[in-house]
Amino acid sequence: MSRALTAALLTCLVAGCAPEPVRVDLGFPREENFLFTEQGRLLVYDASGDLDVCASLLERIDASDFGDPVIDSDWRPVCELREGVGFTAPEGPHAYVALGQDGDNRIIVSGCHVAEAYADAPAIEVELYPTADYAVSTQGRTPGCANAQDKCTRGCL
Amino acid sequence: MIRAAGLALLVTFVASPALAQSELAQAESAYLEVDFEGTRDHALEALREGGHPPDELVRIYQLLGTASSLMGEEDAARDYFVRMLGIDPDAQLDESVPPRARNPYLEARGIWAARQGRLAVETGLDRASSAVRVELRDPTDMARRVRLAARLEGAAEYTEQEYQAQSVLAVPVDGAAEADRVEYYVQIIDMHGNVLLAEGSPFAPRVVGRMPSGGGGAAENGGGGGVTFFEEPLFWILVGGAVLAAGAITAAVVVDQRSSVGLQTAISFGVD
Repeated sequence: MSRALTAALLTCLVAGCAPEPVRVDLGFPREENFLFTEQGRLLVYDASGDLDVCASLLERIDASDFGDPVIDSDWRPVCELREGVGFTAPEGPHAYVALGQDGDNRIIVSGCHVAEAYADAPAIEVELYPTADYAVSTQGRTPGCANAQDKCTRGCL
Repeated sequence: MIRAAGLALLVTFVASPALAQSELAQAESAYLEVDFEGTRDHALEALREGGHPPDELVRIYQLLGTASSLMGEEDAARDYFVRMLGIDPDAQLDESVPPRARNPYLEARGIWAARQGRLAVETGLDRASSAVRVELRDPTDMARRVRLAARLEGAAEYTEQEYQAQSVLAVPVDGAAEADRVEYYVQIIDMHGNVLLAEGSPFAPRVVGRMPSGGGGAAENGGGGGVTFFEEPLFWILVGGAVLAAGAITAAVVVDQRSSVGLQTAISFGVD
């Protein structure tokens, strides 16, 4: 009886009492866009003063000015983001910016969405769009692997 | 001269508790032979010889009470049983004692039921006066002397001291002020030199002083006399503080987990 209580308390302490994490869904238009993407990055900016910051943020990032994000995943293999990377959600409305770059460090997809993460909040959908460099990066190329599963398990040629 | 010395030695030997044992054995024999007068006489002699440990003393009073009762001396029998129960509140009469002789015993039990407490000693280490403190509770009014033998833990020899029975005694023990623990045994003696109550023995002494953690403390070894750190208010204050701190930390962790929300990345693809 006391063991069960202790186990329940420990479980509660370790995980059970914490709410489920809010999903930050990086939505690629097509799977092919994902296959061309090598590195991904998630940045989160305070948007409490201005809920319409996405355009200016993407412009600044396009100029390699990443500003002062409250969360920065840094560049990491995009498959890691697919498998799930965890962060602590900031309180209040924030701009969630997602970027993808190719093997030549060109940002080929980007997206931004202002949202607020809270317990039991719906997923934050960050829709990614090809940038001007996407066409340049992918012109005349075909993905080295057939699908995302292959890319993230075997790697693309 | 040599003969006189030998005679003196013989007299000393004869007057020793060995003879008292013998008197007790004779009382037992007389009782088996239904010689109640002989039983009483030998038991009285055994009592007066002194030197009996508590279990034998209980038996002596039992024989005295039973014999007196069977001889129709019920008042005397009741007094003997009162003393017997004062030494051992759980003492029972033999099954051989006929029902008609049991009334004084039952009266004695009634008397003790109306009395508060029982014969007991409590000890403690009084470092300030480098002494073992002995508190005596004697509702029997039979205790005449208190004998205490003590030694510092690890020492070979006990130092034995004897005092007039008092409700509180401080028996000095050299070095007790600085010692971690003092080993002792204590005996409560009646007017004849019999032992009414014995706590500890030379080979299994009780202990007062600082007890090692988890060792059971004085309650186990010393009859509740030692000042262990379990009895120190500071210890319980620290324990209470630690429990409160642990509770606060647990609550903070739980509240923090409840208030902090995690993010988890995922990838999805739009409909082509």
